[in-house]
Amino acid sequence: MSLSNSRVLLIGGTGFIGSRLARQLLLQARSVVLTVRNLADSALLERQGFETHLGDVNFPETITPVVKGCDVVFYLAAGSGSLQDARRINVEGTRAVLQAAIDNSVERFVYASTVAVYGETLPERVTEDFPLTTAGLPYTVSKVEAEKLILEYEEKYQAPVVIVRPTLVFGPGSANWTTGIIDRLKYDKIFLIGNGQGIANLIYVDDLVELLIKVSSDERALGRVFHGTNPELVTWKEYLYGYADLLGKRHIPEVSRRMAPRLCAYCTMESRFTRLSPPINIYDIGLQTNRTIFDAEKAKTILQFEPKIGLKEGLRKIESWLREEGMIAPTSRTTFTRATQRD
Amino acid sequence: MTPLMLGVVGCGAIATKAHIPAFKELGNVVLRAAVDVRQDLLRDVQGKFKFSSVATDYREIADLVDAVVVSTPNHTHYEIARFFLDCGKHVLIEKPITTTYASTTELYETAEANGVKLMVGFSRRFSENIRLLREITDPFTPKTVFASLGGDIKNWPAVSSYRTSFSEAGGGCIIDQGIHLIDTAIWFFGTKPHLSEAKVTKIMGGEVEDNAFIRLTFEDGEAIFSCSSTFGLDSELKVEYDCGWAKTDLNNLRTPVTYLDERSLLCRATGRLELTTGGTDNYLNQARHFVECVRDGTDCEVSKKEVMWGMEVLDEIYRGYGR
Repeated sequence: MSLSNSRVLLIGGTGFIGSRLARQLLLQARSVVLTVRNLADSALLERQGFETHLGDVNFPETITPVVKGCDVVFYLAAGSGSLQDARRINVEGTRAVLQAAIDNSVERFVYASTVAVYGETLPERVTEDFPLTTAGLPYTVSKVEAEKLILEYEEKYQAPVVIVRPTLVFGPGSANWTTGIIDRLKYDKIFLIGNGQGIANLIYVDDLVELLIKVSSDERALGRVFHGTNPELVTWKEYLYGYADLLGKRHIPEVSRRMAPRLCAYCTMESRFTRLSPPINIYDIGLQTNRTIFDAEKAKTILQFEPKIGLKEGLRKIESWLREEGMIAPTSRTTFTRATQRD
Repeated sequence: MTPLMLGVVGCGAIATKAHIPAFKELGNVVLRAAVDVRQDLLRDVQGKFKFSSVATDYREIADLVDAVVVSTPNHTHYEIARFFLDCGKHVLIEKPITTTYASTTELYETAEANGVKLMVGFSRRFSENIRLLREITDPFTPKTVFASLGGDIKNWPAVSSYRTSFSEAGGGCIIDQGIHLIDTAIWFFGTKPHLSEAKVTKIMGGEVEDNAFIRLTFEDGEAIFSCSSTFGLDSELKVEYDCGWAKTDLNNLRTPVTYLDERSLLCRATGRLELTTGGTDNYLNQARHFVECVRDGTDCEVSKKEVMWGMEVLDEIYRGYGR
């Protein structure tokens, strides 16, 4: 199956990962269809060469008609918040689009999931066949339900599905793992926990995009689940200090692993009065004390996929973007980015 | 000083969540009378806000009040506002002022003839973060204003379903949400807009448009909007000019104004700046301004000229896309 002959539908194509994927697909696919919620985005994207359709996965009936005539469907929309909200997008949206994909003989349905589906109590190395959790945040629970649903459809209808479970995706525009960290560092709203020796399982956004494109056209990917992760071992200390360097910060406040839960409890209580986000939260503790490595062998062995952009190169790319966006101090040569330049 | 006797006509969500609490907080206003066709709503507002009188017919309260807030379904605005203006009462009317340019003209003429204030509730003008954004970007031309507003209309705790009916609302997401964006652009540019592009859809198959894209051109730039009554859109307001930009949130008053200007030494040294405002409730600021205009006889910040420009745009959109 060749992408160059394919009409590709991307749901969630205006988000952080989706927008990078969309730009790559535009270079490789016959045509790229994006679903958008905002008609102003639609006008802009059409000028760039995309075909757009107004729709929202919260209202699957606005999305499913678009599936007709498409060869490949990427489902990158993701919901969080309450379990009801998360399920609406992650489960019900997936169900509707997947059913439409089956009804319209779509050749590949690529679903972006998450390694959060394994839960929190994990061994040192996790491969794709590790059992999925049955508890957790609404986001996690709904993603697990969606994966089960997809595999059920695969079994029942021989649906041509592929699931990719990315680790922490960093890069220009990553609200959680790039700009969010920059903001927290800038305002001293982050702690390095347990000397920062926990493992940050990362993947640079462009590497993930490459993997997503690969699984959409490679026959060997069919019916399989892959981790989207870079095997480069990066500690949280290295990751956070990488950003601190960009900000010219020499020191990140530290707290021991033992004291972290107490500090977290205090800061959480304090934040109820100050209405400011606390500098440490329960997720920080879980992430920064993590010793688990998500195995990258399967994608490497089956698809010959190997991420190309490690932490150092990733941060270099991020740095120039952050300067253009004015999120860190510009250099004398920096030209600030403006929305109109997206044309 | 004698307090202002205030009447509220229409006790739905916007009145009980925004207007009444705002006026209640002002020391020089008495919540004199509330009107609604629904008895249960009247009982609730009387219990909660201690209005001294309630009525189901707005005509009954004319002698009791100095000014009224009209927050009823759109198609009733003209008739109710006209009645109070004719009675010599000041009127703060929830947007849209009416559903047509012609009826808006009549209301202003009536207000002028009776020497009373008529102000439209364009609450975004009274948000401190948006005012700051305007102040920062005001000196720069040409500029482009980008804005979007949207959310599922079903999540708004309306007591009436008039928004889904063309004859009652006068339109869909444009007259409901887009009108804020049109007014904001007019306020930012201060000149007459020209409608250069409008795209509307009825993706959910209703009677009124549920998604829209509008492009307005002004003497000194352009404004690009989208609004939706179905999909959740980022409520962002951004202004770009040749050497920088500034942005904030249209709904969250506490969102700082983020500002980046290539010519600013501070920005060149540190990057974007975040300017925080007090975040005082915009409806409180609006109510205070209205009372001051009534008391002091000063001009309302939402001027007749600007409102008429906005209504002209609305008329043109709905003429083109089927009123």
